[in-house]
Amino acid sequence: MMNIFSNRHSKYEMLLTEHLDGVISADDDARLTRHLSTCRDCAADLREQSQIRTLLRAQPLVAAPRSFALPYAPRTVDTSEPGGITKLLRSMQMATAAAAMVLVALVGLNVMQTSPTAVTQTSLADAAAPMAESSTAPDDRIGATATGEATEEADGTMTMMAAPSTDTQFAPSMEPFPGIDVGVTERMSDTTLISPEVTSKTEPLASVLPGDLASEPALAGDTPPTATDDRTALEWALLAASLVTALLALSVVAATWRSRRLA
Amino acid sequence: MTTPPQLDSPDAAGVQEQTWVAQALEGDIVAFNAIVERYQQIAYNLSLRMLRDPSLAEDVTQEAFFSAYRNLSRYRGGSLKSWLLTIVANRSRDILRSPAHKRTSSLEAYTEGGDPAGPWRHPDDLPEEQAERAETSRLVRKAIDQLPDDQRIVVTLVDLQQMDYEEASRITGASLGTVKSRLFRGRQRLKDLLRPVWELSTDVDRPSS
Repeated sequence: MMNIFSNRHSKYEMLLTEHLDGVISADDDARLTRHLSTCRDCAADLREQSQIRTLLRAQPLVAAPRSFALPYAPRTVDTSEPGGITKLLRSMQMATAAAAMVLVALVGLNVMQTSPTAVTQTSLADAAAPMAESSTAPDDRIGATATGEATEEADGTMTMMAAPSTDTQFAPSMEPFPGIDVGVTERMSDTTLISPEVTSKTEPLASVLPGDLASEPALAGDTPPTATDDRTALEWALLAASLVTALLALSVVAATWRSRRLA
Repeated sequence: MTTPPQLDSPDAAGVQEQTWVAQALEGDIVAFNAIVERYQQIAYNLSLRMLRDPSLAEDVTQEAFFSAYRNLSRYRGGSLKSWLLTIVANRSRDILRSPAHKRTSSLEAYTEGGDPAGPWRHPDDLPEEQAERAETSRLVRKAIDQLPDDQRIVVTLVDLQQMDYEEASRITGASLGTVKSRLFRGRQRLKDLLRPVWELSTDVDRPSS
């Protein structure tokens, strides 16, 4: 009967319900009354639904099995002003984001400095500086390697040539950690690292060195800032930024965990 | 503990509730527990009808009151009963929708437990009358529990707990039209499910079918 009712008299569903619950308007009530006088199905539904409603409303509620009174005052959620740990969390998150940005910038800088062309120039510059200083930096791995080659040609011709093409390797392929251990890479290849465009010409070193390095041999005691120094400083900065970022991230995780636990 | 006073008018009850809310917001757990005492039965019954599991309903009711206290600053006035029951309904709905609940509810039959004649017990009732009322109550609850979730909550709110359409609409989040439609369909279905009750009940006229 319900399906038939739904199909034929669905527009009276709400009116029947409103009528039963006493919230029907006068106009709708009059319309429903007219319909009920001619529709036996709807009249029967109204009567039965009224009885169901009475039965349901006569049902007492089930007694609560126990008291649900709170044994203690739980921590409340303050929605008015962020404060306390929330403020601390927000500032720590900001600091972490800033540290992460610095870290990304430093990584980018490092990548730029260790790109193939930069490595070539850096290696040549590294080679040139100790050559002029005549082995004044015995502990420097990069300098030591380059010094061995440069001292053999102390007559100033500086004809450091590229190795034969079979030995010449593109720097990154030989270097497991670009920019970290260039000296080892140089020893492995037993040649000076030169970019492809440079090796194809086998030019004298002077023609590919930066102008001031090629034209002005360094004076004794005048130690120019080398790429090695820059790289070391960059590595320290990277390490520091990584540590700061990691510590901040760890603090944020701990603070978040603690605040959720308290909540 | 503050005992809920017997208030004659809904307005007076509302004023008293707002006082309790204000005190609870200042950390007065006794004032909040007065609210709990007032509404714990309807909160438990709503959860029980929605979840059909007394143990789960107990947990949800307790969680709801904890949540209500913690979030009391989010209460923006109006019917405190509706606000509390909305928390109960939402929490119960979350459980109904959880995969874990769907897995277990299909496997386990449940019993409400307690004294089956409890709500119907009357000192003047004869034992046979008590048994008859208890059986009617059991059948009615069983029939309600067979309704679809959306019809069951509306029938529970409007018929069992005798709330108006607006309150039911607020608590369920459904429109007024949807509430009326679900109520109509729920009652229609109960009419068929409760045929046996007409044979037992002496208080309700037998429908002509």
